[in-house]
Amino acid sequence: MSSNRRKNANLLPVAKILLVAFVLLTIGGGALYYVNAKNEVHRYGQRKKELERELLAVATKDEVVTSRISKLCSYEALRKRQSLEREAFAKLVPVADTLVVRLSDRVFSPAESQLRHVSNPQPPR
Amino acid sequence: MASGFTVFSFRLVELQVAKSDHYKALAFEKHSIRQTINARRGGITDINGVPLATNEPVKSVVVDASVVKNADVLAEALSRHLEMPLVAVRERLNKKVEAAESGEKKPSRYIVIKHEVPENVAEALAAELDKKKVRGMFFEQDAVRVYPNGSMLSHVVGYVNRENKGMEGVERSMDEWLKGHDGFRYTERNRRGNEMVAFRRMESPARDGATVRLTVDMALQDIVESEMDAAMKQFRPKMATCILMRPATGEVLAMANRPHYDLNQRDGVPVESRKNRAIMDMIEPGSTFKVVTTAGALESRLVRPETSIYCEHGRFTYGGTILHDSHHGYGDLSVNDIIVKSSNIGVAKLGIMLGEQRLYDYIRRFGFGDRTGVQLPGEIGGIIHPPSRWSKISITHIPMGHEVGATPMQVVNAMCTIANRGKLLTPQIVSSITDASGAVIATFPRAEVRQVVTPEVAEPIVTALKEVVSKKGTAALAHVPGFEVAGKTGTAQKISPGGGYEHSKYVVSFAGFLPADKPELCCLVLLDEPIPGSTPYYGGYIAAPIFSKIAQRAVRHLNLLPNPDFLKVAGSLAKNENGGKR
Repeated sequence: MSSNRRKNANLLPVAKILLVAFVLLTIGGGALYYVNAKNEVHRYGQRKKELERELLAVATKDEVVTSRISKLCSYEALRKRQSLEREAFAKLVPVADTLVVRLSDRVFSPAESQLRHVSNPQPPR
Repeated sequence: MASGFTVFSFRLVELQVAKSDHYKALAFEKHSIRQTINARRGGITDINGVPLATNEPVKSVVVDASVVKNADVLAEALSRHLEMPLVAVRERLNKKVEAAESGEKKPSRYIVIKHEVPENVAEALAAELDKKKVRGMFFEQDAVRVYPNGSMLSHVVGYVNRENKGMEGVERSMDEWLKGHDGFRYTERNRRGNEMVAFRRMESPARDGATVRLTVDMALQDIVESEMDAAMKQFRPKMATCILMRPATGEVLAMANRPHYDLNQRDGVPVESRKNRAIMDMIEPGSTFKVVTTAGALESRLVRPETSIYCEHGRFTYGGTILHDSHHGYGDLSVNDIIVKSSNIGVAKLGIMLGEQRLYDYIRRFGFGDRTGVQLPGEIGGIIHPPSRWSKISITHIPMGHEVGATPMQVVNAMCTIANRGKLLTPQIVSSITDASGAVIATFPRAEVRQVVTPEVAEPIVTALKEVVSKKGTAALAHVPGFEVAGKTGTAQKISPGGGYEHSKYVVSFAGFLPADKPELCCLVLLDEPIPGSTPYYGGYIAAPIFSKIAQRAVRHLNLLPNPDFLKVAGSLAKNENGGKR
């Protein structure tokens, strides 16, 4: 007679196996997820670094252009251009008193509102 | 097996829990690096935001010779783009360093080829090497300080050294505001030396330097500089200074010195050209100082503007020396006319009436002998000896501006005091400071020092100074069409190194303000040893016309409304200028 008299001797403990498998899968899955997440963090870190470099490059270009603009617009540059290209600029005429027309604040009557020639009295030539 | 497992577990807990902090610190020390985040230096602008000092990004070209495979191609490209001799570049690329452990000579991993390479040159170089697939070169970001206006306002703006530290001018006096604060970041690198962004830890961002806004208006500065250049050509003085101020607030609107220098090309510039003479040079102010003595005598109620003083017909003996009136011998002159005619004898007698101690007190009250406090480095206080060190004739020389060492800044500030009806202010050259986002973080408001003389005393002095700029006075050529000008000329003989005074060397000046009744501008023009040619050797003939030209252009820029009454006055003075002896 067989010493093994239990009815369910050859049955597999499926529940336990499933449980162990579930735990192992969870741990394994978690570990894989962790590795994947870490890799993503590194990827995003690299992307962040690239974006920082791009931003720095753009900011640097902006500074270079701003610096060039300030040099070109400076009084020193304007003076140099004026001295080199004297012929190309309209000559500046000193504002003499005879070239300035002065108007008074008085109110004009309708009779006076017609167009008139206005100038300062000219000195006798 | 159980005991082994127990030991193993014990050791695990000890390492991971008990000594975790210790090992974390070790790992941190080994793998982490501290990166500095460089702060950008702040800029300097004029009152309207015109940039006077900015930063321009540049690159340093660095080579890692250990990875260079085609050194000839690299050297040729570097030599061409960086405009360096090929031999010099090859020499640098061949630089070897001794390995610490083996003592073997290895190619250097960090060879600086050139600093301050412009961005466009660096880009072109990188593109060429990329195309030819040449490895081993990399760039380091850097910045250079650029002064777009070159030599204009050079003494005020100043410059920085290679370490970006302010050495002169506002760059130095405002260095703490301009330099900003570097940030830092702790991070880790992988085996290839690349930063692992994911492992960034502590980070403190950099705080860029603040922007310093000056009170100077570059349009007015341009006017002053162009007239200074014209004066240098015409009179060829040893040096010249011009200061333009707003008397009501003490703001310095323009400041120019000659000789000067280009801030972008400082190599080989002599020290004399770098000196801000407006605040560092000491001169005997001459007749412009008579205003101080007269104000003191009026304030002490020893005299009134109409009090008559006998001026000895141009020859006054005192203390064994003879004092002369340089323009003309006068009999009786009112106190008002002592200023108008610039009588040495008249003002000497006012000084004698005041007495040594009171005269000294008024000189100090006007700010002479002390620094004005303008926000520029290197300012000197001038020299005014205490009465205990005066000789017996000092009481006659000091009132007319001799035996006194004053800076041009002190002279113009004293004239501003009269323009302000007796209020002495601290000159301001910095208007405000703004941070990188544009928010104002500091302002420098008007600073009143003291009421030197009462407005009732200052008013008759202004009346006298108005008459100076007339046919009666010594500065008719300082007139400005449409405006009433008040001012004083100065013609001071220079001290001879062997003692006494030089007969042919002068410091000529004119200090004046306009409009006289509500001053908007105060200006000092000073020339040291001008060569006048056919022009008479007086402040009224050399400095006063320069003042007039500057003021005429300045009032137009400032949109000051002219007074038609003073056009007629100007017309008659102009006739006198052409037809008369003056």
